[in-house]
Amino acid sequence: MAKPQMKPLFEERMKKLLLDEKDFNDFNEIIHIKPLNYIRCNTLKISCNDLFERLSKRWNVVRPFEKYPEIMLVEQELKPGELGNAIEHILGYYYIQEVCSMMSVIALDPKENERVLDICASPGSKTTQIADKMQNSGTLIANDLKLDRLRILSANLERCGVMNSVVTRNDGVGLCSRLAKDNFKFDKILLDAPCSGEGTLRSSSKTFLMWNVKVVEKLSREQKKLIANALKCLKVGGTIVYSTCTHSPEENEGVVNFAMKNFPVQIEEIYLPLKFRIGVISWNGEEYSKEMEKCARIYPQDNNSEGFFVAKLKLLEEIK
Amino acid sequence: MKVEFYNSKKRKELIEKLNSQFGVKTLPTIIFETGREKIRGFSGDLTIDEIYALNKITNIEFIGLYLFSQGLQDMRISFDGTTLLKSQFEHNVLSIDDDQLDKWIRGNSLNMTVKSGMYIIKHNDDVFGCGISDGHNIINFVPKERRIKKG
Repeated sequence: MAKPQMKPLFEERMKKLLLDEKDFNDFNEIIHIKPLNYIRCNTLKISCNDLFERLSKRWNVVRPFEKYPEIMLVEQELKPGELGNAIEHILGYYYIQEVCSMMSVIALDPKENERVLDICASPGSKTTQIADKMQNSGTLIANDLKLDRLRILSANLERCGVMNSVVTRNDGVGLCSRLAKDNFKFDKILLDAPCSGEGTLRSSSKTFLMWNVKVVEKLSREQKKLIANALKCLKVGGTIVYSTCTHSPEENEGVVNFAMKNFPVQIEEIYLPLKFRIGVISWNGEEYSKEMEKCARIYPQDNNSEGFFVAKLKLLEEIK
Repeated sequence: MKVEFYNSKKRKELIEKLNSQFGVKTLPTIIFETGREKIRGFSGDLTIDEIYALNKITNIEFIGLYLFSQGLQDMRISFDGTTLLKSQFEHNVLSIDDDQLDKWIRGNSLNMTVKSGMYIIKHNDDVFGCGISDGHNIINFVPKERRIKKG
């Protein structure tokens, strides 16, 4: 079967982001290769060392990041469903999660006893990662819109033994607006926004077919509404991480730049264990603040991962 | 959201039942009952008043973790509840071997002659929920979505 290809406009846009020809070719090559088998240890149920020891008896497992022993990579060919059917997965000892998607929670750095809001929480990979960092203390509000997605979220929270969560069903904009009105404020917020998914080509080849610039533009408008309302629920000095699994600047720096122009926020430096590139400061004739360079762009060819975008913002004063 | 939060009396009664059945002595901060006699636990720092206030402005679907349900006679601990409480279990624990685990985790009942009642199913250091014995078989309560599918 022929490999799916990028639509011409998508390809043109990626070439603008990846100016070096070899860089673009590397990107175009890796997006057709299945992603690696990353898992994350759930320390609510087992220690990283105990899990590593158990899994090493069965598979070739490595821990690529010394500072993050919970991140493990199974470096061998696996049968379909093998990771999901393992006893340790059934018991909730680990979560199958692409390494890029772990980066937004690493940037957010949730701590015990904090109040954290995860606005677009399903299916729960990042939510369970947050709960793990909070060690089931504080309060974690996990929201999503659709009931079928919430059922998956709930099943994953149960499997991982998450007990500090309140799962709500609302559209993100309405939820944040009502929370802010009633003065429910959070120390930290994760806004892992619905996006065009350009970073998920390796695991979801349907993105090649579904990509459409009109969708990118529509999503960008929705993402701006989401971040504008999310910021109103943040305590002064609190942190929001905005992330997507896409490369489109309209959905990334364009949204963060909008937040910076309209709200009292400061873009924070991010430290991640993956190689990342600085954010773009101009795109399709639009100029963004130089502060956007503090955003992190993760390209699949840099880490043999999927693609991702992360930005961290701090609220400096109350939003009236 | 329809929940009934446990007061200290109900909480004490629950702990007494769990203690006599399995040796459990401590539970998470907030315990409450939802529909179908399901008992959940919440370890977060929201007070009951804050949860009610939150429910007025958001659609709360679930809180915390499903821990127990009231059986006809005995308390049944959920699959994930057993992992959470595993360090507290003192009695009514059945240790199973590799072959029995293979059957159990695929949703099959186990042919074992033990006194009737509810048991925690344990394999090495892992616990795999509860099963109820009729004297000859341990009826399997592993939720369908947590069973090994095939292979």
